[in-house]
Amino acid sequence: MDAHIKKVYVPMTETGFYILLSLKKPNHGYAVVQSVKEMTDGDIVLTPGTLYGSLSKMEKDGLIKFLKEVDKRKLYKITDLGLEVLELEIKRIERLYRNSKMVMDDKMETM
Amino acid sequence: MMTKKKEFKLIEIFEFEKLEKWLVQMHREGWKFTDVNLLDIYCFEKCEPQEVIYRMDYQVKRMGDDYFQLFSDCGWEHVFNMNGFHIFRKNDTECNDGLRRDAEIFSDDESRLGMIKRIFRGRFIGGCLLAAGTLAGGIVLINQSINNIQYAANYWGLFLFSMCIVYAYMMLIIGKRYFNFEKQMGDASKALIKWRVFIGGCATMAAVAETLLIWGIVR
Repeated sequence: MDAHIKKVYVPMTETGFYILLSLKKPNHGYAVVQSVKEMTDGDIVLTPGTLYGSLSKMEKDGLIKFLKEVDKRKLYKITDLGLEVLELEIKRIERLYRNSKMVMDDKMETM
Repeated sequence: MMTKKKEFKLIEIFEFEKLEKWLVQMHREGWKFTDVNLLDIYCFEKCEPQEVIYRMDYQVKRMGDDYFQLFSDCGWEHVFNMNGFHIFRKNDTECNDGLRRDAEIFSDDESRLGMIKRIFRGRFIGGCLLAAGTLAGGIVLINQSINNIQYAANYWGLFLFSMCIVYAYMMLIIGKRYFNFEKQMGDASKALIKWRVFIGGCATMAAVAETLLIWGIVR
């Protein structure tokens, strides 16, 4: 993974993270909108302008790849590089969770 | 009964929020936007007064089917496109998100600034060329007519000069808005440096132009 990718995508925004996650299996733009909405209980609402830009940028950076066009909708899927970035992020978030849990539990006991 | 209406309105594309609001207002009054031409004449069609949201996007490239399909899947009707300016609309009743996030086509600052950057690049280079062109034309014509007050080129030269001032002013406004956006959304100190470099560049250009003109007159 080159320095540019690491700098831009690690850490990544919650939205970016969920877009990548939704592309673990082949999906088109609107399916990503729906899947992210479902996964976050409606907390993240993707808008078409933003999503179109994110998909183009991720494709350019090689995190996702274009598979084919079905009914005017472009199907994308995550690449090996994209998976690598996603795993780095997951590790970071796991550590975030572990540390916050540790500190907060400790605080509870002393209170 | 009148079913179509044309209105002239000057809106600099950088003030797209103003345009969006105006189109919403017209629709509320029963006038549905259909198109706009290069002379800033906006055409409307009579319709039922409705609460409709208008949004604008700017794309340098020619967009493929997937772009329009994605917007359409998200409930946006593509109304109009001219030189990369895309206008979309959506019925207010279709926005059912409590925070009204589905009433927007951009949901973060990065993508919003991205569009403004595309407009800036698209408009700025063209505008600067126009300003430089009219300035050069003005200098040549005034130089030619300097010994002949009655010469028509005098008026043309003055006309081109005033056009140059108009274009330069427009570029200044566009530049100012662009850097303001950048300041709001990102690194304020970086935006300030860029703005100073930009103003410095403009001032240098103006100074060079003036020197050329004075040199031409003296000669």
